[in-house]
Amino acid sequence: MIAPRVRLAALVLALALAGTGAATSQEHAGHQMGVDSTGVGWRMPPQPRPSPMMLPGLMGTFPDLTAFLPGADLDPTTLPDAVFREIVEMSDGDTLRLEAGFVRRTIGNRTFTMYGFNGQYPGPMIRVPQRSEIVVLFTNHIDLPTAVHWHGLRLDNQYDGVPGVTQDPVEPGESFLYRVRFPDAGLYWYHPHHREDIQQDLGLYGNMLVDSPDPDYLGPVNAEDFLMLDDLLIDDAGLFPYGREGAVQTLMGRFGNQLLVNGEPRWEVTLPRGEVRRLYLTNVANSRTFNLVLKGAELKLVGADVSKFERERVVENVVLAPAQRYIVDVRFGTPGTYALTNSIQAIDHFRGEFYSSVDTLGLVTVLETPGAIDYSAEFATLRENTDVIADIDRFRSEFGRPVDRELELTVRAGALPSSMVAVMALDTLYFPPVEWNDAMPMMNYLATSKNLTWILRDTQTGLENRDIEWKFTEGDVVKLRIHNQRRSFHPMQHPMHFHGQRFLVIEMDGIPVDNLAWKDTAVIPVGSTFDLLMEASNPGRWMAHCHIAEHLEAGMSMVFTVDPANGEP
Amino acid sequence: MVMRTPKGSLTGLLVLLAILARTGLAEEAVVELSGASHDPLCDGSRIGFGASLDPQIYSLQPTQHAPGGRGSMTLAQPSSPFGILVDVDGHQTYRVTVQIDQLRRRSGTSYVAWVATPELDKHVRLEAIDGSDRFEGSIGWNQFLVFVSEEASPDVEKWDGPILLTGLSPSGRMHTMAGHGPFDDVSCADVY
Repeated sequence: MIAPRVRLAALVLALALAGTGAATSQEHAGHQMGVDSTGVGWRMPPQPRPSPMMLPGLMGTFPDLTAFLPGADLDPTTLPDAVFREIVEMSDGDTLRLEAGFVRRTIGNRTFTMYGFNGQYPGPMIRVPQRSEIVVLFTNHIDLPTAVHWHGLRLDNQYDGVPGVTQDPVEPGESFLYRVRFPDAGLYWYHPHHREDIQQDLGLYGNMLVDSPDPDYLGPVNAEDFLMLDDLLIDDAGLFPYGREGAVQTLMGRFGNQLLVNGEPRWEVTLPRGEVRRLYLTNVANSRTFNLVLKGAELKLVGADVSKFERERVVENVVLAPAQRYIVDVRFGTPGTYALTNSIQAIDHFRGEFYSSVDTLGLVTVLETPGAIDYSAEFATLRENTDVIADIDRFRSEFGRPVDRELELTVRAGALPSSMVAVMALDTLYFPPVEWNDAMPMMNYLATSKNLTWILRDTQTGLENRDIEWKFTEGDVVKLRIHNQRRSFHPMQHPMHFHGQRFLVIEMDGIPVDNLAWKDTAVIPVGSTFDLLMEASNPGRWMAHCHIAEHLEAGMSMVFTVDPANGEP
Repeated sequence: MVMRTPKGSLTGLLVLLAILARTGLAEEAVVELSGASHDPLCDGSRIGFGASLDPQIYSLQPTQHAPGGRGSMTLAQPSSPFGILVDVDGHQTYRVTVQIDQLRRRSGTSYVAWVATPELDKHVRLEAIDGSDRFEGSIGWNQFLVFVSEEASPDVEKWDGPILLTGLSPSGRMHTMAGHGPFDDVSCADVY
């Protein structure tokens, strides 16, 4: 056994031998390194806890992309103040005009130039009946090409909103007509699928709720709340820049230091005692996974992305990865104040320790006065959803059969500073199943879509990312195995999203899942292997990808085709 | 960004890895880093091809009471509707399985597997599976020790007998950089 001192000496030696392998501020003296035409330049990212700013030798090193902030050349006082989102109830055949544009947002007591759909934050909440279809006439008034993806819907492929796969990007000033159909009841959301690391982060997102015609589809509640959870990276100078040519912070994804609920720092509501509220939860953050806690309240898990669970169950907290949705009923039985928190065990790699981190996202004030209608008995009943069970029964015989396709999730580092690579190797001596915080903001800052590639690999063919093109036929039931490779430069969890279809997570690390719900996004922890059963029900050429926006921009996407059952292309 | 020749950096990394490889701490770490040590670009693609059945297995080390003893612990995700199971304070919950592969059994004694906090202020017994030398349980601590002791009965509630095998959760590998290595001039007192 060699003493720790010797190992540390080895680290010093390694770093000394390694050099930095990176451009420093001295090397770029006289250059406008990473500064765009509007004067936006790189600066060190904010840190959650005091630490040395950067590895020795890397101080003053910039990402290999141009710093960029949309609208930096605009006078914010000329922009419209964003307003809180509207709920737009629509019927079959209705048309919605949706415009992406610049807005002036006030968060806390600070003002920022951001994006909004129809000048709102979040975008309009679209409420429609199941099996309806609406027309959305979308116009792009932002400064980047874009498109609108209707996340989770089994809609017609040509309207899925994925530039390069289902449509060309909608250039600034141009429009695109989407026909959006809603075959499944549930909670969905829409967002750009072009540089979503920037556009979604700056506020382009909204919910969709598809109501079942069955009035008893979900149990009765007193009221509903739609909570879109997000974060934003801000320092004293304002919004932290993005990369113009590609994404920065591709190692961990962009973690914000200002947590947001529906675009506000805090969600607040006052309600009568004993009221049961239905929370429709959507994680729209670029990278952050939330652990939501409402201490003192009773929580009942009702539904996930695309369906209810087979059986409702009591939970204490809700883990919500990017792009995922959950429907949770909450009963507030006693008067008082309840805090909605994101409660995590964060990691500080510099100190080599865990620390408890609790952010308050909301406050629920419960009055002494009881509500007019008491749904306590209904809340206490854990419903068994026979409709969901019957639907899944059609697929249960497929659970045990061999795997059809297998994906491995990993990463490849390119021209990163070599001393960073050496320290990363040590940091990777421990990899948490989930990165709940940006534990290495400085190193994350230097990782970009140019020097780091996140990989989906088909283990049967060895093909990677967009070289993969799986072929299925409508009606196929496909068993997918996804393994998140821990033996890599920097393993991290990946919320995997398959467009246009629905799937079940049937097994986690060899253990069958005992309470299923249809989903479109499943988070695969580091080192884990999940088996999914996907119903290839919707013809078209679709994308699958990690929903950490920076991982997507750093390559982590593939394509699969579902051919129509009648054989026509 | 300008990339310097990787020759020096590779040498440094290899020196580091070679030294780490000689330490007990780095037993699994060498496996983790093998891709990096072979590939200048730390190409994860060179390893793990078809590695879907790659459970997280960590060796347990024998103590002086069990020379030649062998065992392992396996960590996996417990079932959860969210795909990840953490508690209200954010502690990750693991499904821990301990397997004894080789231990000299003395008559009238039983092996019992335990999980303890690093401070040893709390410990819980893992349940034997069908009376075998395999034990299982769930644990929701950031860092933990796993050990196998020899006890008079398989049903003891508290660890009492000699420890035969020991292991450490992977999170136990985390280390502070303050005051050491490249941060040698950073005072630990300033950050703790």
